[in-house]
Amino acid sequence: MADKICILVRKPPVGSKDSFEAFRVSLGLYVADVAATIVLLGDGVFNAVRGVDPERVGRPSMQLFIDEVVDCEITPKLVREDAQERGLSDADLADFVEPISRSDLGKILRAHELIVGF
Amino acid sequence: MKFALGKLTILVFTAPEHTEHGRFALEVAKAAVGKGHEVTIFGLADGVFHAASFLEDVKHADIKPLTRELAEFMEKTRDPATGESPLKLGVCSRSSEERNLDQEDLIPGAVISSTSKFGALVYDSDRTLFLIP
Repeated sequence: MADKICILVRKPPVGSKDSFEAFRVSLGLYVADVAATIVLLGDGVFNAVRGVDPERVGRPSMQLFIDEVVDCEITPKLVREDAQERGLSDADLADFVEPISRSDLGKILRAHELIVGF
Repeated sequence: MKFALGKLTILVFTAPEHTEHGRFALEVAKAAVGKGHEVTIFGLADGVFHAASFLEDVKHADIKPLTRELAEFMEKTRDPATGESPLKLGVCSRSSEERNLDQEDLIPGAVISSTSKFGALVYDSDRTLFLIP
């Protein structure tokens, strides 16, 4: 039995639907009482850029799922160093994420037996 | 006949011709079922095509007809008393809808499911494999 999972979002909101699917699966797991810790890392940090709108380039908006995630009181984490390496400061990031350090990511990974990367 | 010594769920994210994930899932499922376990393969995104009946007869020099094999294995392992196979094949409803797949497009034994039902599978399973490139 798995009652918690760590979901790593590695892809940006455009170019593939992987991050979209990651948020969708997170909600499905939440409904089934599997607590999901979502971590945006690598290019996945671009999902949290303030005002990002994939619909402008014909990709589906993730806003619906992000709103649902927030409603479920899931606070996605974001690896601050990965954002900084991509020129993003905390001020560039949307409010729904909590920046964490890479060492914090290590603690999260150690706390989960079930880890999946999208 | 009683199944389910343990429960294994396998998420497949890519189409059958895209990666070897579907083949890997089937081979793991065969081994697990052979040991008496219950396995569910869940297709998400392009993974739903593993259940598409119109791919049963796709012929390619390098690719065995995986979809047909899945259907045949579920049929072969079906319990005559309950009509159920220890291998289940579910596909995400939204992913199916996005790809114009209806229940009638699926191979026998495959069912349209949902991410919340997938969540319940993960919760109930002893092990879950996520096959994502």
